[in-house]
Amino acid sequence: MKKTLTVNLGGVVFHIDEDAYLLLDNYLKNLLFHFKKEEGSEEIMTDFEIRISELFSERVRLGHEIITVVEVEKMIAQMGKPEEIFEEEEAETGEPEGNGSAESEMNTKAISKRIFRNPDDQMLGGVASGIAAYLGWDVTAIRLIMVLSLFFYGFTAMIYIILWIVIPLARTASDKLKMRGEAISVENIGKTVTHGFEKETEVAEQLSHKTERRSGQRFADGLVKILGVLFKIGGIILLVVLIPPLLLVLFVMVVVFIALLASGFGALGGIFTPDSIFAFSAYPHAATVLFIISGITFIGSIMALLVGGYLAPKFFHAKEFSSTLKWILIGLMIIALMVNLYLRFYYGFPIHEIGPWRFHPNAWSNYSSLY
Amino acid sequence: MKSENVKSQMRKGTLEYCILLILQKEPAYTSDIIKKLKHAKLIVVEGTLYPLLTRLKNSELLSYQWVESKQGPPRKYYELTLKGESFLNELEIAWQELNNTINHIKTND
Repeated sequence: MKKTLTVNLGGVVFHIDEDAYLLLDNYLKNLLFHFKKEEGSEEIMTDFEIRISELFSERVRLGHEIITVVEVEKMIAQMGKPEEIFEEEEAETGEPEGNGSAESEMNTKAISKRIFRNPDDQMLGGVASGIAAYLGWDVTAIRLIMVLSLFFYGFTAMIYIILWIVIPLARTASDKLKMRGEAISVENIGKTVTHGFEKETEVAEQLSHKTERRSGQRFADGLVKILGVLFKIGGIILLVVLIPPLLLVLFVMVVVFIALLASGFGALGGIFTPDSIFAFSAYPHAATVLFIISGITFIGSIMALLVGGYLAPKFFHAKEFSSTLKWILIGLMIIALMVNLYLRFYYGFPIHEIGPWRFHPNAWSNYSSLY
Repeated sequence: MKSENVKSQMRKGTLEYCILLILQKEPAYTSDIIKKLKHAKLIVVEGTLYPLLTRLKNSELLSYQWVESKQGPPRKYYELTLKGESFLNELEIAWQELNNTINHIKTND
């Protein structure tokens, strides 16, 4: 027993099997995908529908009341697979064949992979299969590593949740191709769509033949879905709670790092100009440290902006800093400058030690006292 | 370089010309055009023809009317426009020239 659907094709009603309907729907969508750029695409699609309707009518007249996969496949063989139609089309637009294939080869190479979660192969969120597709590894291996690493303080669970939230799901055929790093061509998209269809029918067959498996599978699917949603909500809450302390830790680490650097510079400065040690010793200790840190942060953020925002992308084709990062650096730069200037004028620090301004307020008084 | 590629290029190059030739004799249904082209082995799959006919129509070389049919829905009945006829004449000349060139090369070996 099979369920049938009723479709209106070019103004004629047909009874069509469910799986045959899926195949037909995929075929038409594939064609539409290709022709939609073109002027009069609706007309072309109507022409196709009318012709398909004619072919099916002929079959119905011969006594095949229901359109099955066999009829649809015969129709596709006669009308041509999307690849066949598009191949002829391409040659028709006058592209020399050799050139075209070379170009597409280049496209395949130049195409940049992007990481996506794989909706066709997922246990929880499709993170593992997405990573597998991205790295070209085996999914099972990655899943095994993930599960095994759960025994080490459950650290991967958190990483997994973060990845789940951060990595987008591959929704469209072109996303799926990017996920695998294949060129986005009509043929490839056609392949992807038909591939998806094959999977659908497989599932449909499984469902229809093994009913006892069906309920269990459904239950498991539902459970995983609920679990997934809960995980996601929990993950978001965790992240929101964790972000401020994490940022604080990061900030402290950066400050300590800079302080270490500064003390190193200070020591160096002390070696080369013995006077400076005496110069600093006249000021409060904390103010001295802060002064040095702000000076280095100011210069450092300018350099980082210059390198990451301009030089690296221009000369090394590196990825430019995100605008968020740039704003953070600019903010850091302004804060450092303000702190530095404040200390400078409040305590009258000798400018020639460390800092962007090579200006010494005391110098004037020194000089003036000479005369 | 495969001979198949070259052959299919040749077929494709003459496809528009052949469609116009078929319609020059008499207006025809899409299915008739398909039948003739398939018989001449100019097209392998039918799907190629629909976008092509629409393109020719959009370039005002062809026009069509809907004609009622006893068996099913109305069908498109294509015919050549005046512009299409002059276009066909151009192609005719080009074809003759090509033919002459090839014959010339063949005989003056």
